[in-house]
Amino acid sequence: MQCEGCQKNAATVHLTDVSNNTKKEIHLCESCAKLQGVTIKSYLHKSPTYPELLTQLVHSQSEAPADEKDVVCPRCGITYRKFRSTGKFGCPNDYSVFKKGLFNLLEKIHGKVEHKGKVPLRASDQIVKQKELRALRADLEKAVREEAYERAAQIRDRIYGLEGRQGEV
Amino acid sequence: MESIELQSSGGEWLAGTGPESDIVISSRIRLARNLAEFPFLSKATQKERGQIERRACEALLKAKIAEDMRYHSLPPLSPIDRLFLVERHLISREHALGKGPRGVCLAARETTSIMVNEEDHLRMQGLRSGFQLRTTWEQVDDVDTKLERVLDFAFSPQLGYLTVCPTNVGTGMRASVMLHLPALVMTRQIDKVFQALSKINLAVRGLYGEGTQASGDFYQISNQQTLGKSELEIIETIERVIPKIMEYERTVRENLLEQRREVIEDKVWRAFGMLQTARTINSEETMDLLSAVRMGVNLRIIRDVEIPTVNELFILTQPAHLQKMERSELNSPERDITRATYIRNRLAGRAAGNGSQGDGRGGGKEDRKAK
Ligand SMILES: [Zn+2]
Ligand SMILES: [Zn+2]
Repeated sequence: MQCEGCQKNAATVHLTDVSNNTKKEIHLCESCAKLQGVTIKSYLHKSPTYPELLTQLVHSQSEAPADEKDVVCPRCGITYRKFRSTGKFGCPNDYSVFKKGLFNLLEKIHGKVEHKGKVPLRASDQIVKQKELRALRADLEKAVREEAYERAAQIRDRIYGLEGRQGEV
Repeated sequence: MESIELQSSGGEWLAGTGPESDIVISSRIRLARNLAEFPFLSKATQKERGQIERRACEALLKAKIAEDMRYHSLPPLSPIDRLFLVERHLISREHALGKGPRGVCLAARETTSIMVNEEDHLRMQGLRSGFQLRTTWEQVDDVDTKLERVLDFAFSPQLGYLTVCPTNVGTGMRASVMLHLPALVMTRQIDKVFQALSKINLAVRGLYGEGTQASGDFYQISNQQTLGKSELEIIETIERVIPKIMEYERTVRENLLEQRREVIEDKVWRAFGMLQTARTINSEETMDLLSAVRMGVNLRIIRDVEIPTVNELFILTQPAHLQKMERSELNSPERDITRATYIRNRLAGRAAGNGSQGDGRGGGKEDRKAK
């Protein structure tokens, strides 16, 4: 049997790669095995989980355009390419940074891309608060336009108040 | 070294008292949550992992999940203790084998367990005996609500709870039931069930979850999709299909009894006899034999063994449980001897073949009355 690494020497090291969902046999010569030693060790560390399996399946089906793959999350430093190869995000921010390619993927996994379950109390408070803020800012603009400065000052104070409370949470 | 106390009674889910418990062993709900201000564990430093664990522990104390709540940090625990938690379905195998600061909070007689720093920052689990997904959901929902008062979870109005893997995003919920389907396995009908389930996007796994083999004719059925449906809608999907599988299993059992009574009785009594007499037995054979005995008890072929006893034997004969009972490390051949001895003692004095009701012979105090 030929080594799958260099395609030259005879394969003497036979490994079962269990990290990528399907159980895959890998046949390598000794020097290629040494070269890949670290990777192989980490391969054997964890057996595949169902979500990984599903993610990988989906990976092979939907490919993002090349430029999109180099998008980097400013918060955790992960690239879209890296996410697609591991199936794991680096931080919550990635969901908005990679939004473009992600929705395709999510639709393939879940069939839908709109959350329809529990909402944490804080989030629902914030959604309400944000709506209120938007309304107040529109009011403020209007007041300024109409040169109703006393009313504008009141509105501004309410905005500060709301934003302050938001900062606390 | 810290050590986890062995509770011989086991968790609530072993009692075998829940609804439909002849077929449904347990119902489980798991929620994945992450703290908004930290990176996911895939990117977290050791220091951040420590901070996440500390934040989680503080929150658990503040939120007062339950009176009997206890947090176990995993690194100080022995490998046997960690495996013990896996065998009890309180942590995942990955969590037991993981690295760095991590742990599990157990509460409410082991019906609640919260893994800290598994794949996501928090994995909350409710686990109850029999078919009761709704009660289990209410329990976990309550834990989650208490925790969200003191923690800021990563959440997006569009995509719901944000998780390390896109396969868990949305509700972050995995609802599953563990079924005992010996008759469907015996008659090779089980594949039909799998096919039907995959059509409605439900997954089937073995006894110890992701990536494990089915053993003892136990199968775990769970949702694959977590986004786009509410928690109750996901539960309803499973609730609709489980009664059909239960009916299928019961019909096949009845048919077997009617048409091939000797064959099924033979299988049950042989299994029982082996367990009562074996001097050394491995874990796999034990599972297979106990599965036949369990079916025999449910079909009232065996009448003086209670289901809780059988359920307990499934767990107590696992490697870590045996070693905790013996209070020493045992190699594999030693475990097989200890296992055989333990099973013999638990099943000693039970009559074979006369089909009479239990009359208290041979340590009836071990058995709790099944309701
Ligand atoms: Zn080579
Ligand atoms: Zn990121």
